[in-house]
Amino acid sequence: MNSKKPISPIEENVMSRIKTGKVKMHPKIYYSLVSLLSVMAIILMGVVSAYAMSVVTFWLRIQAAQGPAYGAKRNLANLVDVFPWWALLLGAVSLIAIVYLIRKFRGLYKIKLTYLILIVVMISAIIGFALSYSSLPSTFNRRAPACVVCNIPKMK
Amino acid sequence: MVNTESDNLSDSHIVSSILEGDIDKYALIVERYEAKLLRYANFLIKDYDMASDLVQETFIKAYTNLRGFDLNKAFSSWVYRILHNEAMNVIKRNKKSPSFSDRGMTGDEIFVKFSTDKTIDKNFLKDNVKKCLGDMSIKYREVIMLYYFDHLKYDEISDILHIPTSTVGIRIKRAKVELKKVCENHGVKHE
Repeated sequence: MNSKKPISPIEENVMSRIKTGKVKMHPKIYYSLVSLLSVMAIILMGVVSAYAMSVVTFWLRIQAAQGPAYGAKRNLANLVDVFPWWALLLGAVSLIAIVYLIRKFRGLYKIKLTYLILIVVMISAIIGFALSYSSLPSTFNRRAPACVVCNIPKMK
Repeated sequence: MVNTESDNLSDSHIVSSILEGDIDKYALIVERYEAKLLRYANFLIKDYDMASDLVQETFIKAYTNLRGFDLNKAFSSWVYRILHNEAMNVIKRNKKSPSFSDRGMTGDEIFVKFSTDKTIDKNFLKDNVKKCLGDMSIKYREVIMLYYFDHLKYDEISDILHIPTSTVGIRIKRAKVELKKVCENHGVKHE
């Protein structure tokens, strides 16, 4: 028995567009490029975030070391004035971008957002703290035309 | 025309055939999901014509992105996700929320028990609450739709809505509470 199912208008339209070639599949290279770009964006944001964290950590370490050692009683307003707020802002923006990219492209939506944020912040803070012991913040400071970490004397 | 023997093939098998060049098999995918997607779209945007257009666009989009589909995952979740995204775009664009089209009954005719989940799940939700669902927020409406009407599992809903599985459970629970309130406002009596 030849029992043909009736074709719905949706099926008819979709299949005619496919068969006439009006609609084509994206090539494999398209997905490779999207994947590569998303990974690169995550890495880039990770570097930016870690660098911003390292600047903040570097600043905090200097302030902590400077206080008792120099015997200077600097007031809080002065400390707030010289705090590298831009680094904190940059760090926050890059962290938001990382979490967004990870959830969007890496399919980590199954992890609760709060946990994901905590993990990303912790990793970033650890890398930033480690970097603050390297010469990275001061290297950028020397190269930058404007001050990167204002009023920070070199640590020995 | 796709023959009935193909009906037994799994989604992944069909997609593999399409990727190998047998594009006619895509008709089978359309046949399988058209009614389900149409119902889901209609629930979300509450406009049958717009829902039809949306489903058509979903199938087109699914076809163009078919090479990006992971054959080890469920095709149903993937295609539902595409529809969900498209529907959200339409809702954001239009910001319209007309009343639900299915007005086959009035609130006074409905008499249901809220006392047990079983009653809610099997009798109340399936037969009597379409009217109430139309007045619920999309966030809750879609989980109710996917869980009770499309019988999808928490994992599948999680994949469609891109939320953690535990959140799906919480959302369903809250949706039931909101559903109860909305139905009460519609004059639905309960014990």
